[in-house]
Order: sequence, then C-alpha cells, then structure tokens
Amino acid sequence: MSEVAPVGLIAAFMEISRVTLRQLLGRRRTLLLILLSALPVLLAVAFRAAGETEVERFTRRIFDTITMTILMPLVAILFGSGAFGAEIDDGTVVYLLAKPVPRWIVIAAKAITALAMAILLTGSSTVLAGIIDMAPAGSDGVSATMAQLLAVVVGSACYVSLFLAVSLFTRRALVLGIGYMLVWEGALSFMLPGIANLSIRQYALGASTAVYKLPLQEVRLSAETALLLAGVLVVSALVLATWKLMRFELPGGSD
Amino acid sequence: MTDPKRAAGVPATAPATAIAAATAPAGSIYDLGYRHYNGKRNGRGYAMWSLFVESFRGVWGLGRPMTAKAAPFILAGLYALPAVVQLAFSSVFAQRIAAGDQLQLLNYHNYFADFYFLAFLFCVAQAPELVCRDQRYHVLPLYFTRAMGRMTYAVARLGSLALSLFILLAAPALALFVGDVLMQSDAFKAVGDELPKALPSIPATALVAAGLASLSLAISSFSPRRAYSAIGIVAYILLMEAIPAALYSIGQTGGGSWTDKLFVFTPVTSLIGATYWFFGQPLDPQDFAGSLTSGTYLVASIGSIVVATAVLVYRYRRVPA
Repeated sequence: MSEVAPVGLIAAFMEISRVTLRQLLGRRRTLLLILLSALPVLLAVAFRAAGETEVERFTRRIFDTITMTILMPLVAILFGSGAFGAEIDDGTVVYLLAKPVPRWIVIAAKAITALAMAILLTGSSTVLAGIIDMAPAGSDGVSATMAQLLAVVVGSACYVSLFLAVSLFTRRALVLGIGYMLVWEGALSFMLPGIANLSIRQYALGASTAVYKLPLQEVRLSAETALLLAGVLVVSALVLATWKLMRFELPGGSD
Repeated sequence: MTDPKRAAGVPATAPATAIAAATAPAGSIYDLGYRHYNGKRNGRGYAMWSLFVESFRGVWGLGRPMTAKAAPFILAGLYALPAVVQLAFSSVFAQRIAAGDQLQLLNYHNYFADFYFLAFLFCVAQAPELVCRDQRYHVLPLYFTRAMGRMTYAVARLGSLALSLFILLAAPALALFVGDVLMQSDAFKAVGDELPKALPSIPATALVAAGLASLSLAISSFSPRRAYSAIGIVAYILLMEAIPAALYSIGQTGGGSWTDKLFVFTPVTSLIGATYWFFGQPLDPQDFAGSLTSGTYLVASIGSIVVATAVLVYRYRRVPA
C-alpha cells in the first residue's frame, strides 16, 4: 500500500466523519432522539418543582433508572451499530473500502464521530438535568453531576465501540445490543452479582467513583478497575473491528 | 364447478374483456389482453388468510434460513425453559412434596410477570421483521392494488404476530399443567383439580399477546428500517415504565397523591396487573405501587390494545404506497 501523507489522513478522517454524521442524523430520527434526551431534563424540572433536590433521590430516580439504563445505552447502541450498519445496509460501504485509506482510520473516524454524537446528546442531557435538580445541593450536587457525566462518557465509549465491532460481524447488531442491554445488564446482573466484571454499566458507574461516590448501592468496581476494564474493552473492540474491516467481505444477495 | 359462464354454454376459451376483469368482485386480476385468467377468484378473505399464514411463517422464520429462525426460537425456548425444567423434574418434586417439603413452584399467574422480558424481546426482534421491509423496498403498492386492502394488510399482520405471541406465552403454561398433573398420583383427579387453576391462562395469555403485538407492531410500522423500529419499541416501553415510576416517587413525598393513576400508562405493568385479574390473585405490593386494582389495569390494557390497533390502522391508511 502506498504511503498516504498525514494531511491526506486527516482529510480522509474529516470526510468520513462528515459522511457518518449525515448518516446518523436523519431529520425525524434526530428529533426523536433529542426528545428522548430531553426527558431526564423535564423530569428534573418536575423534581425541582416538587422540592426533591437531594443528590440521592435524583441519582436513583432519574440518573440510574432513566439515563443509565435506558437513554445512554439506547443512544450509544444506535449510533455504534448505525455507524457502519447504514453503510452495509445501503451497500455504500463499497465506496468506503475502495478508497486508499488505512482501515484503522475508517474505524477511528466512525467510532469517534458516533461517540461524539452520543456524548453530545446524553452528556448534555445529564449535565442539564443534574444542574437543574441538584443545584440546591451545592458542591455535592456539582460533583455528583460531574461523576454522572463521567459515567455517561465511559458507558457510551464502551457501547459505541463494542456494537460498532459487532455490526461488522452481523446485520442484527442493534437487536443484539438491545438484547444485551435488557438481558445481560437488566436481568442477569441483578441475579448474578459476579457479572460486575463483565458489565458496561458497572464499568461506567465504577469509573464515576473517581470523581464522586454516587449514592447507589450496586456500584461494585473501584475506579481503577473499572477504567482499566473499560479501556481494555474499547481498545480490543476497535482492534477487532479494524481486523474485521481489513478482511471484510461484501454481503451478497438480499437482506 | 359452478362457473356461470360454463353453465350458460359459453366456451371456456371465450375472451374475457378487460372490462369484465375490472368489474369482477374483489379478486381483480389484471387483463392485459395477452393471456386470460379463467380460474377461480378467491377474493379478499383468501388474500387475508394467505398473508396471515405467510406472516406467521415469517415471524418464526419457517421456510427461511436458520439465521432467521434463531431469534424467535431461542427466545421462545428461553421463555418456556423454566416451565419445561419443572416438567422434567416433576417426579422429583412429587417425591419431595410427598415427603412433606414446601416447594416454591412456578405458578400460572405470575409466570409472565417473572419472565416477561423474553416475550418483550421477541416483539422487539420480530415485529419490525413483519412490517418494515415492505416499506423499505416499496412493495406495499403490490399488496394494496390487489384484493388486499390497506386495513386487511394491517389486520393480517397484527393477527399473525398476536398468534405467535400467544403460542410463545401459552407453551410454558401447558408445560406447567402437564407437570402439575404428573406430580400427582391420580391423573384423572389431578386434571380436575388443575383445570380451574390453569384455565384463566387462556384469556390472560390472549390479552397479553394482543397487548404486546398491537403496541410493538404499531410502533414498528412508523419506520422502514428494522433497526429504528426496534429502538422505538424498546424506548417506548422502557420509558413508559420508568416515567410513571419517577413521577409517582415525587408524588408520594410532594403531596400529589393522584400520581399513582399514571401507572395505567405503563405498557408491561398494566398487562401483568391485568393477568392477575383473570386469576383472581391480589396484586403483589412489591411490583405494584399505588392503589390501582387489577380491574383498572385490565381496563387500561384493553384501552391500550384499542389505541394501538387504531394507530396501526391509521398508519396504514396514510402510509405512502
């Protein structure tokens, strides 16, 4: 393969992320996702109006049950599996693979764009909701909000990279992602606490303890372990995705 | 054969004009003037039945590659697994009961409450399968220009998903029934004892199947992509479970005692509550906060089925074909 100048790499990166951005954001879909991310904020307003401003109640009722178990995984799985999924479904991945761009650049551009979009949506929702509801709690509220933002960022990074890799292996990455989210994270991790080492939710919550100890009983990992495991997951998923993309076979026939 | 033309002595090869084809009842077959169709016209009911059968096969991946069968059969298998295990070990349980042990066995009335997420996942995986691709590949006009009308299409698809869910949900109840009968020494007496306990499963299962099918199909019909439909179903159901719970929690301390009424909007909790009504069981206060009764949940579930079906039919009246 001929050497590509660094400037060319950056240009390719920018171009791929621009295209990915446009694929991920349809008009109606974006609107729905923004509505979805506005929900925690609206609930925070309701909580504030009802005078429920303690860190604990907010963390448990809004952050844990809605942001961490529904909003963050859904958005990250959607963007992660959609980054390549749309190209594979439409067949436009051919044009992507035909370009003389190193495959790891393609993966990096796709993953970073999808992650940035996911964090933009869920992160801003988390910060807004946290500030609105927990401002009266003072510095505790601020650090709790920061911890929650960190959890959302770590969780999104894990979900996006994992399901970006999965989407290169199967067309049903999104359904697999939802299955993982409901069965593994939802049901099994309550029944089997030993799963903590293999749960994105635990990585995210564990990482947040580096900033502030959120009042949730089921945080089982220390910040170091959680960040290390999350890093291993992200890196290995992206390496796997690059490896798969280097020997990617175009799916033949119909769906 | 009582073909009126033949009876009147008209030769079977008489050219049927285009006008005759156009004025023929419901089963219109286009006559371009090359080769005429003189066969039987089966009409709308038959078209609906055909689509119903095809959809049912599609939900289970019958007649399709193994990859299409994986999701439905694995999910249905997992859903039935606990009941089948209890059936397999029924003789062991029978000995333990005879020895005087108190066993915590699976019950008809709370089986769905315990394992509903597998049925929910079945909807997430298979409802988009039924309706999305027709929109994506623009084949709806082919359905709508024939005997099949828009509403017929929607109803046939909905019926096949509801029947599939009914089978999925009823299989473990049947396994429990057989297991419980086998556990007792006198099989005939056991059937008599078990039936009154088991029979409410039939209407309860039908209600749950209709509720899950109508809701998930109504949501999936709004996107031509299966992926986004699946996300839509999950987002709707999870959020509608979480939001009333969050509002109820502030209502409790904030003085809004009416907030427990919001639980009628929960899709899955309402269905679970409604099944308790059929079995005449009290609602478990651990799972059901607030003061709503199982009768209220039953009304809420029926309302949800009506609304979701109306939305589905409305969508298919408007969808560009």
